[in-house]
Amino acid sequence: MSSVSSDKALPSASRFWHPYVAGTLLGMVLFLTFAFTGHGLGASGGLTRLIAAAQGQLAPEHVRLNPELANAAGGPGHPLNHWLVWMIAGVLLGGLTSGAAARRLKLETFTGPRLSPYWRWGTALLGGLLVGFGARLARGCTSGQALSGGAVLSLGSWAFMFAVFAGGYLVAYLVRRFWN
Amino acid sequence: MQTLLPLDVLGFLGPVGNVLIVIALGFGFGFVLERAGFGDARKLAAQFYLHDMTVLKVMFTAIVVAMVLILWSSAFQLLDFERLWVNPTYLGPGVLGGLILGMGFIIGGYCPGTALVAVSTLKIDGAFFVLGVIGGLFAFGEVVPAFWQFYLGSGALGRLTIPEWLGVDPGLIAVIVVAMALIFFSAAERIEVWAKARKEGTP
Amino acid sequence: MKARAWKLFGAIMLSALALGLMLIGQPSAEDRIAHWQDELDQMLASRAYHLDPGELFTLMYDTKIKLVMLDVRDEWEYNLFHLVDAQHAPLSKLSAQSARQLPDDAVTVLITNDEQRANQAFRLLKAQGLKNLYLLGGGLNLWLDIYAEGRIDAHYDYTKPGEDVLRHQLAAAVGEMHPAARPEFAAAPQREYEKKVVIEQPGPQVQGGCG
Repeated sequence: MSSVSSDKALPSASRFWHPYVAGTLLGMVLFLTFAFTGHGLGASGGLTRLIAAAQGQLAPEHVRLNPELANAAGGPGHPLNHWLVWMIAGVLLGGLTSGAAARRLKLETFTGPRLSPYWRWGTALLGGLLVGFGARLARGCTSGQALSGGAVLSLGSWAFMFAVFAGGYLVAYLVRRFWN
Repeated sequence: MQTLLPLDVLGFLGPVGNVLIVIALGFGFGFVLERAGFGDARKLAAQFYLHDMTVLKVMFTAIVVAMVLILWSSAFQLLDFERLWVNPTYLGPGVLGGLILGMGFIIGGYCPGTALVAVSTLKIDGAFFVLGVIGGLFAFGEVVPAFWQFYLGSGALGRLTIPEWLGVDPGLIAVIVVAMALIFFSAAERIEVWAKARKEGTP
Repeated sequence: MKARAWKLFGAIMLSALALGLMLIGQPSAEDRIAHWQDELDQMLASRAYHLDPGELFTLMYDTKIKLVMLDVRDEWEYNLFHLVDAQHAPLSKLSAQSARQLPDDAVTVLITNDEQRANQAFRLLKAQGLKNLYLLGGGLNLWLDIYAEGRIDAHYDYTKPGEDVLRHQLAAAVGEMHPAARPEFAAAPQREYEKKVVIEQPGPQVQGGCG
């Protein structure tokens, strides 16, 4: 069975890059993304397209009649031939490479000290549902809206970012047993 | 007749080059996220319990650094800000979506980008989270016709940057954002110390 | 402690860079025009962007093309006479963000009495990156020569530019209530002209979409 990492195994800060260093490098990557593509980073958009592509295969009429789905399924060209999809591929490769180099590749479940892995899978699923829904509603997630939109000072993106922190802090007390 | 940046990669390197560049950028993104420790839901969630403010520090530093680089290259007409994609502002859906995402974040412990990193380092909870995200994305597509007007129109201001909204120079906003970030960072460090002490204090 | 020194350094650097931005400012419309001075001069001198009235006439009736006509003259001139569907966009009101409000997938034609103000508007909008931008060669003076007076072989001598003043006499301010404001397709004089419009695809204005 996969191993469970509890609080005792929380890696010490020195094994990770210092936040300001990581942030500066991330900022440079973000700038390069704008410089090379004219737009920012993005994660949820690619997943949206993958789903729309799948739906397009399975239920083409349904996609055609729903303007939002039709939009996500692509307009001209193949839905998978879109930068967001390639970006996801890159993110997975990058995470894999860094994790492998730091020997953090391990089939396991990270969870709080009071939450069993099975419950954790459930909360992850539920959290993901909300995040997915919220991301589409807001037309972006932390990478696409907060980071990218934030860097170009988009009003809606900054509003979004504050709302994300607000939402998290509001609920944090309720779910403290998940993490502490 | 265009500024060098943003680069017309499609023109320079063709579709294959375009794909490779995007993958490389995604690679950088994923790599740095993992190095920052964001492949770990516990570290991400800790932001909301105040004893580890890494999320805030990394995010704001990244935004500020990118913003400064963009504005400086724009000032020298090396980069054309008008050609950059600025997320259109939809205040209603944006704020509501942000709240929902924030709740999902603290419940599930990830956001889409960090979840991908978690999956890439074989974290099972990350995989469940991504499944949930897919479900949420799908559910939205099915449900949105019911509130289409809200989604399309609520606070829809189009492409609008904060300097344009306030009618001031972007440089001024840059100064305010940097000041805000530095204040946040300083406060965050103090809060971290306080929260850690409190955490260790209770048995 | 080393960490503290680095943090301080970083904070000072960021503050300095931000303050620098405030001092240096972002490029204004004039800055942009100045930056592209040579290219713009060349574009205008080449006459590749000055459309023959015959071509504009054809575009008016081309249902496949989205046409935006911008009349850059003063309000009283616009009220005196303007082409049907020409929007009033006085040169004085064009700003550093005007190009963004115009559709990237439309053919935009700048109109004045001769060419001077349209040339200036061209510089301003082109420097902002607007695609598919053209001007009415010879302006409304030439247009009226052809479509109001029937002088099918009229031409504009760009080496001897006029004063950008309407030569034609009109009894009163007719606006677009004039047969020449939108000449009848079948009845209008058929003019031979050199086709200049080449549709540029809108750039990678990405649907950054759900990031």
